[in-house]
Amino acid sequence: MFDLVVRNGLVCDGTGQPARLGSVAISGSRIAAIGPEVGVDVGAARRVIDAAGLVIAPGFIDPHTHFDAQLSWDGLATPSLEHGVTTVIPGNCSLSLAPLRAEHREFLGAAFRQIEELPKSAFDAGLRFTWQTFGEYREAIAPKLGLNNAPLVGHSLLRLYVLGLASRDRASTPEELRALADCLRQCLDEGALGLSTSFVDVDHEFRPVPCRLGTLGELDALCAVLGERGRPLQLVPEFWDADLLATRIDQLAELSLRHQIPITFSPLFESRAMPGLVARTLERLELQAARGARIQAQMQTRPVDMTFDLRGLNAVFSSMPTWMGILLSGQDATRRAFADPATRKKLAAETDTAPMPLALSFSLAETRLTGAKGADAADLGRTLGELARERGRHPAEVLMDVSLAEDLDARFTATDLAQADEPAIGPALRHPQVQIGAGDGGAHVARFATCGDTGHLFARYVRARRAMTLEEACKRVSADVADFWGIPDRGQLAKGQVADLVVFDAATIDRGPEELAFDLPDGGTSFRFVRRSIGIREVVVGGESVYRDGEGYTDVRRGEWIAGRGR
Amino acid sequence: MRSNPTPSAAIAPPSGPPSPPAPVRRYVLPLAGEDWQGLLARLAAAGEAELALDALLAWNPHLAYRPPSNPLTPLDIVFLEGPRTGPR
Repeated sequence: MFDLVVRNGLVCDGTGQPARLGSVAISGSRIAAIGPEVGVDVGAARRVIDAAGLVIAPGFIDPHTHFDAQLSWDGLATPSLEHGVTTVIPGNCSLSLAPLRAEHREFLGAAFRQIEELPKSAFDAGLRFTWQTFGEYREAIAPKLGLNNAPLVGHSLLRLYVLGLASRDRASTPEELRALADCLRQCLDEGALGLSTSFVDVDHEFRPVPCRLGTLGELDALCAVLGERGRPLQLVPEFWDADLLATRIDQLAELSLRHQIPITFSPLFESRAMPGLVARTLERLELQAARGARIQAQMQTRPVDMTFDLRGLNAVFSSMPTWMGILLSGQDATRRAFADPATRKKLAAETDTAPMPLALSFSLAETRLTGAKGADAADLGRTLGELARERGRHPAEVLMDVSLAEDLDARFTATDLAQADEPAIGPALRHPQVQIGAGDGGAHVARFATCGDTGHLFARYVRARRAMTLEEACKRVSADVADFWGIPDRGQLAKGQVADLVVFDAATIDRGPEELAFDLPDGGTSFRFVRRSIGIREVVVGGESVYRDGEGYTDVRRGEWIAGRGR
Repeated sequence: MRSNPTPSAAIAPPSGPPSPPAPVRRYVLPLAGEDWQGLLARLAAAGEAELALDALLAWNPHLAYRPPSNPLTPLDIVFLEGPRTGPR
């Protein structure tokens, strides 16, 4: 007898082959049979899901997340799971939560919160560090998992563990380098899927994250360890500059070829601010792929939107030194600066002349007021350009006026900063050196919703644009990701595979509108943006339903810790 | 009618992995702990005496606009020439 049969659906098995009407039968946590309806005796099943008119696909795999902290209080990584994501890869960008000595928790917490933009109140309320080694971390998190977790170990964490706080200041000695390699081996043995690093990130004190103090020789030595096991490397390059990106790709190609490892970087943005960057990057990746290098750029499907306030620094001001200096100097100094006529004039002028920040196509005039409680609440939804014309002021002055009136709590939203040109993005999402990812799940929670990228893929690039077929889209977010990262027994619907699958309506699947949610573990002190799923009927992890449309999440926790395969 | 092999096909080398592509721009990586003055001195000793700090900063805005808390690091790419124009 089967434990579960998902019957009479359109099976997109993750191979990209044409979908066929059929059923999937599950025994325990594995797929026991798959095929046309007639091949499965549904009478011999403990439970049946009727998928008539629906798609049955492998569970989606999200390769770029920062769910590290969230998984300690929410083993479902909500609401990603309800969008069909059954496996997440956290620990990206050099930052994981292990290995971590007790004396470094405060530093790591501050850096992690700054870089991944997590509220301190939620982080402190929800996260209890009870581990030091990667194995202890696994023991603490694994029992809570409702979806599969395949974490990377961060290069910054390795350096912090071996060099201590000196890792923020200097390169490793030969002896320390051997210890770093041994530490990486131990983390891989204890459950890390691969390694992540960064060439660009700064910590809460705007100092380079520890991995950036390493040398290329150090990175090469760590890649040699990855090569022993065929494990992947993820990194953040200077994604906003085509020459820098091409130069990084050349360096990465040598590492990939020398150690025979897959390497992925994120993000790759299509943006009006950097015309031609994507084409040049893909051309470089093709050149290196022809040499045998295995490098993929991660591209997110959703447009880059960003909500910000002026209580602290945010990315849209990163190319404006005067703004940066003021926003970094504290809220009292910001209030004084915004009230000072000479400073206001200088700040307004800077918004007219500054280069685009981080390849983002940012326009203050097109930025909307989206959060205000006082007199300006009447203008919610309107652009700063509209308000500036009406009030006879510069858009930057409106920004400062509204912020002062709201005691810096006013919120503003800039949309379509990148990834908005669908005709250009569609072909890139199909490129063999591009991986659909870079979504940042679990991070930047008060800036934008990081969930629902797969719904957006099906809604915009399959259904609306017809840039790829349903079958190809399923393959791109399941089997292709599993193959690149070496995730065993997942990514396809086939006999013997782990039964992670999603049942959805191809005619309606989408992401819902961005909503505020006060569900972080600090009791509503802070908020996050979320998007609910549309068109997802059922999500199955390890053979058990974890989410059902209309009913919500079940109590089942069948998520596994995935340590990857290798040589 | 059967065509003759083209001259290029006739003299094609044995197949193998293509050579690395030429760098998009000349660059160096700083040494651990090296600042701009130290880098310039090292470049001068290597025969790059004509390079000036102003030029390096202009060719490397990703480094030039950093705050003092975020100095040169050993993994930074420092371009030794400006962007090239035309097709690459």
